[in-house]
Amino acid sequence: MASDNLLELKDVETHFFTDEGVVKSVDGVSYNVPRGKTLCVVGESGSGKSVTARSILRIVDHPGRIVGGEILLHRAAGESLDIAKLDPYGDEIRAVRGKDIAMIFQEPMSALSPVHTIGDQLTEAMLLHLPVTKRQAEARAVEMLTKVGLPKPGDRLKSYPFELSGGMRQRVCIAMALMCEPKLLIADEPTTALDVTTQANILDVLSDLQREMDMSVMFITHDLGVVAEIADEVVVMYLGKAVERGTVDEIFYDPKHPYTKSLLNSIPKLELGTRHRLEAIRGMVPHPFNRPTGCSFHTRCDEVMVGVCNKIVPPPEQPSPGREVRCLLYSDVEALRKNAPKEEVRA
Amino acid sequence: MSDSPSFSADDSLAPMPPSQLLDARPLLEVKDLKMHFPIRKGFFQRVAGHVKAVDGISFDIKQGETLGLVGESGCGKSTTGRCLLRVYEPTAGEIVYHREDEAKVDLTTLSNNELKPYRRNIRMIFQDPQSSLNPRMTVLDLVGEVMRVNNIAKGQELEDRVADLLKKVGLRPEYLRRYPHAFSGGERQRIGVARALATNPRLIIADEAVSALDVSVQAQTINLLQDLQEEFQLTYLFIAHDLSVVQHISDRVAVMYVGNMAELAPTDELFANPLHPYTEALLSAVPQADPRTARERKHIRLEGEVADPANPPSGCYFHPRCRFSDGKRCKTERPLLREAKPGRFVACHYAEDLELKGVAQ
Repeated sequence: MASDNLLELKDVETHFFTDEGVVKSVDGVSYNVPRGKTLCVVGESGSGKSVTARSILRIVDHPGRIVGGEILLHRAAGESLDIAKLDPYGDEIRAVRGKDIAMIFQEPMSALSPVHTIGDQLTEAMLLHLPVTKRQAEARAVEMLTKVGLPKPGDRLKSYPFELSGGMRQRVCIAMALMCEPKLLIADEPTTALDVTTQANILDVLSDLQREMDMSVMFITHDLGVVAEIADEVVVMYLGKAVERGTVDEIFYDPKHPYTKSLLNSIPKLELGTRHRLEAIRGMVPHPFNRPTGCSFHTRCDEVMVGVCNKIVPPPEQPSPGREVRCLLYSDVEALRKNAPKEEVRA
Repeated sequence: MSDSPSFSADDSLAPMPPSQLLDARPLLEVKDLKMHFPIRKGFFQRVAGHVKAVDGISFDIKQGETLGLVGESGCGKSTTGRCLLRVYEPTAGEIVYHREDEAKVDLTTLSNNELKPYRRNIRMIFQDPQSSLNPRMTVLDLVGEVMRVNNIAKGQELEDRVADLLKKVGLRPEYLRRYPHAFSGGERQRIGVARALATNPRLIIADEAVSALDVSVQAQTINLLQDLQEEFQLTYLFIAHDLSVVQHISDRVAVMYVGNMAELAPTDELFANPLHPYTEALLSAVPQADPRTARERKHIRLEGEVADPANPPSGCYFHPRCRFSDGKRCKTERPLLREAKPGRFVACHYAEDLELKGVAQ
């Protein structure tokens, strides 16, 4: 099955070493990005979903760095590259960025350079990675801009980002990311800053292009509606851990982890009509310096087992093939307790 | 709502029956409100044109209801909210406020001094709890300032009332002397809510009040707003772009497009059976958190961009993007907001003839 995965994350740990202490933004995350499919990473702010994505491209800001784990990129010829071991400023990771893995960001205005034309920004990555002339690259840029649905793409090469609306800028970002036909596109909340109508159009463009180019998409979002629309597989993150993963139908119709359940209950749903009471998750996301012991969700969990959940760090369990959940409700607690000492120390 | 019997915990959340809603007295009537911002050009700052952010909208807000105001960015929904408070001076139109003693006052004609007592009655909650709270003021000052300015309370009494308000919004009264940075986003928004409540208002304008919050915190805040509405008989103008939140909280919904009102209807009817093609497209674009319906659903996609409010199209502003446009009447004649069915207002020439799809209930 491993060959079906383009990217494998194994126990990735990215910590930020600040003056006040160590923030474990990503604290042992494992999941796979399947080939040609859309993986959605869901979580609230502070869950580490963006830092995980940035770790994959090795663009984690100072004072953060990857302290453990493997990020395996399976390239076409059967060779694998462990991205986590690369020098973040080295040639090897630069060859990956923009060519194998490309990224689109939340805020299209700050992702584009205000002082370069759209044409220059689009062609830059291609001229770097592929043996093409400037004219070929520009032809390709026009082709990509047509694909993402920008009107009059030929004239647009000479315009600057400020001349475009938010939705158009995000289309340019998508075109730029897809210039070199990457195998994986990481989209970090690409539609959060956009209107619903624009969002719908952008999601359409993304899924059309994905089918056409047969690439994998890793889509980071907090909007469960968007997840339901586009995802094949879903990873739910909470406080730096992937607490549950499965296919989109499994997550929405048969959620296992109490966090996933409460997340699904806390959103207003169109079909439920007005004025039922929302089942909010109680409390707040804990402060990063003050993570709960044991299962990090136990302070807000409705199904908490006192004396168990606050002591033992839940290991990954597989309730059915392809599913994974980190919750002690699905673990053999007695067995864990017997060989738990080292887990407890870690917690 | 004030004369209704006391609520039990369960039926307090039941939707208001439409009949009761239609009969409720208005709290605020907005008539042909216009807000045009001048575009200035050149050395002498001559006026080269106007951005018609709000271009003649009329609606009323009834006592005790929640009116949702939705639309894409730039449609003038926030400008409308700010005009009601006279943060902006409206270019034209009337804002008639019904006082508790049943007298009517046109807020647009009042001077700043005369307006003061009404500013206690109409309050606002802002979108970004980060930038709407002064980082150098303690919670006591942030919430208490408005009471001090309005001579509602001072000294120890002020402190007690602020502590009381904090409890009401679910914050600990011990936090009185903390600064905003010590709170999370959701808690900061609660401070904003407490500040809005400080003068015992009747109408609260919530401008994207939950948009910047995480889903779990957003649910808490929505529940809080609904609880407070029951407790203090508040009326809300709930401005938002998230239609599922608006549907959840509103009794009626107004849809705006480029400074104009496209449709105004009771929430359930608007979502089940929209009358304006723009409403239909907007509903179709909302992602639904249900993978099966998401796969089966047929999408209506809007082509092109939102019209420029400085240079809007002729006739119906929506006609260049409308799939039903006839190319003649829609292009030349601007549709007025009219009551197509009882309680349902729509600005479309063909509202009765179109078969539009809503969201399945």
